Amino acid sequence: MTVGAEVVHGSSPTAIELSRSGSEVLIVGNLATASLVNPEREAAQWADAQAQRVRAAGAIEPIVILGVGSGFHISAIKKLISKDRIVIAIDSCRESIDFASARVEGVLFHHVNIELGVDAFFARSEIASWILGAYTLLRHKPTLSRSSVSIRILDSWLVGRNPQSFLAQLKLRPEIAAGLNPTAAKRVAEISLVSVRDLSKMWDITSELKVERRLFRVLEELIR
Amino acid sequence: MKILIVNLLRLGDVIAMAPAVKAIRCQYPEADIHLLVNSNFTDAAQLIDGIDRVIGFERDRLQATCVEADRPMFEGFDWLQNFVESTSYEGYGALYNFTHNRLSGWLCGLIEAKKKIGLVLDGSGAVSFGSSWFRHLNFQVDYDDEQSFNHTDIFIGAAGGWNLALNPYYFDGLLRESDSGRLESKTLLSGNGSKKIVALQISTSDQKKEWGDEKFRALAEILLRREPDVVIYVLGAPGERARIEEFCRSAEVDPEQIKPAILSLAGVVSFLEEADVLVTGDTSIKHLAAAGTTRVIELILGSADAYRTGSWKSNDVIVTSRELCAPCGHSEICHRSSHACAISISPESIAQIVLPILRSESAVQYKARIKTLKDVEVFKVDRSEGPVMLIPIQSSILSDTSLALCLERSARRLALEFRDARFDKMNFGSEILNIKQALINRFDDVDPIEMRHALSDGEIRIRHSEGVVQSMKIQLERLKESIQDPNRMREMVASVIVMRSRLQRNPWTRFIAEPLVQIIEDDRSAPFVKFRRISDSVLDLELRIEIGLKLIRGLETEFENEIETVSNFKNKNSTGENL
Repeated sequence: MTVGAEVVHGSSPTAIELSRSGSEVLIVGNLATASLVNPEREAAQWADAQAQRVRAAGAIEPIVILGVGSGFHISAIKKLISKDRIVIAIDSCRESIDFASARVEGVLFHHVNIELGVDAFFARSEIASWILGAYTLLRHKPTLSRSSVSIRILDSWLVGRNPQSFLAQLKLRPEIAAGLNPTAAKRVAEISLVSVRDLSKMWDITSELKVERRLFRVLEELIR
Repeated sequence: MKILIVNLLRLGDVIAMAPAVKAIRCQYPEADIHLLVNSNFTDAAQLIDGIDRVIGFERDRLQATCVEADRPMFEGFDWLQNFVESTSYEGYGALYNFTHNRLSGWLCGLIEAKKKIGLVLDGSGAVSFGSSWFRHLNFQVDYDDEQSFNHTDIFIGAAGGWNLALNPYYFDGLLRESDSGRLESKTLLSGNGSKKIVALQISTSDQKKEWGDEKFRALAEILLRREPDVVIYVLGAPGERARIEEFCRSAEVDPEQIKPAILSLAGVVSFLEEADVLVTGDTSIKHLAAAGTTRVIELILGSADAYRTGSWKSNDVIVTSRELCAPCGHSEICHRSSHACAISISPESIAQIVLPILRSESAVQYKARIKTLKDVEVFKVDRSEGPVMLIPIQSSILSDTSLALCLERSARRLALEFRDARFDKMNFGSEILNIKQALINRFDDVDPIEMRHALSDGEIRIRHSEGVVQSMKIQLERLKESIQDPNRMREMVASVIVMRSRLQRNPWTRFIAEPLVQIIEDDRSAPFVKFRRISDSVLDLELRIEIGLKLIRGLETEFENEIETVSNFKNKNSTGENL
């Protein structure tokens, strides 16, 4: 059932429909951003599946949710954690951000325009504030599968394993970049999916005593 | 002062460290002691007495960040950086790394602490151990099984605990009981009256270490048939409930006599305080029992290692198969057509080991019964000297090799303590008496006259080796002038090869020649490093020979005194008879 007049934001026509359980669900470009049957139940099931990772991350680590949808799953995650814990919701769909931010409190919503590029994304102060620390990335797969390709590009930026996003993340970490052998680091452009093992071959011999190199030594032991 | 103890291994290894934690607590009663373990063992680590705070290390998460392509590339790095900074911020006065692997070495190199004991890697290529005991652990792989120290004992040594651990009550109260654990155990055991309790731990973490449900069931049936006043509890975690219940259902005995014991770890700790005997493979439950009062019967199967990681409580019993392939490598797949080491151990033999304990038979009766078992080798854990010595119950034949092996271990232990400045080689204190008692336990059928004779023979042979080492020292002095000369260095290594072969030919010194293997095989180190290694090894040999000689002389005197006492006693008796 459509409860509001159809509006047009940019190129995505949006509408709001009521689910069978009676909740408002955002429709973007004719696609529902949550279940039209029982979005709360769908969201609770998703949150339960994330519970182990959320708890394992400790009490203070920020949670970053990729894919905002209608925001039901964000509310569900909020119920699992303490009020003090920072929750960041991130999406390339402006309409979803507007819809969910009006309905879910205590969450930092970030809209990302991917056309501005990965460097511009990381240059934003509100992104830099958490991307350099430990955080738990949760993907809302129902939203990712319904959304356009732009959110998957955003996903690859956060993951930082393709050459472009890896180099962009490296710029945020000049102390690591300074320890890499420039010739070996250039070869990263040839690797489609960068791993800790690839990185282990890029270090310069002079960086052995650096803290960053030694931290990566710990990680390398886990994949020996 | 704050102290950080690091153990990033499995649950059994964490529990096996409990005596070392006690040593640290005794030395620093006021300290705030933190324990870093893999996050899935944080609850279990709370069971160790003396720990004030348990910190979880997210190993699984870090591993996932390294191998899962959809995890942020720097997630592991960022988490680890944050972890190292927050841990260093605690301002630890001392750090003990009981893990002894490269991962923990790198990690402990990054965490700030005023004093570090255990493997530490700092990026410069330098490896530090902070204790002779940990340095020794690094080389223990080169030693024969029987020569090796149990890892629990190495940890006690590294924690500086041998002066304390010689107290017979030292191993009491290593674990904490909780109210919830006591309640679980009490509920489980209610209604048993005065019946003896046998616990069976039928599952292990590794298929190769399993004896098999059929064998355990047959054991339960034999025990209950021959000793009706017994209740058997089959231990298991909540996830093993179905297997355990099926095991109990299918046993052909009165169901009141065999019961599942599905308990939390806290519950197991309290339960084991009540149980009389635990029959187990190489499991974490074994270590929990070793830290308590239950008598452990451990079945060494597959890659389980009786000497290095076997049960470590006095009077526990260790059973091994007679298969030549045992123990196999840790990650090696069994190459036999059947699981020979498990199959060859019969339930009847294990019953013959358990029943005398339940019946409180005398040591003589027990030994006589064990001697009849043909399919297994049975050892008793003896701590008369301090570290675990596995005494073969079926054979106590005195040979120069078996006696030399015992004394070499003792001399090596004292040399390690001397290097850590905890032993004065001019004052052996009660060491000689403790070692004498260990020898009496090990060779209990042997006449003191025979023992004194064997020791005298050993003294002569060790003195000969002393001469070999002295000549090597003279050669080293000469080499000092021309370390860079490759010909001189080659000659030196050739001399080391000759010295090793001479030491190995002598049964009294064959066990001290191992460190020389690494020098002989080292063809990459710079001349200076090589020279330093040779000098260190020669000095180590000299120290161990010196201590060994003093031990032998002290023991000779002790056995001489015993012979005199016995002879005086006989004389008095015979005089009495005459009168």
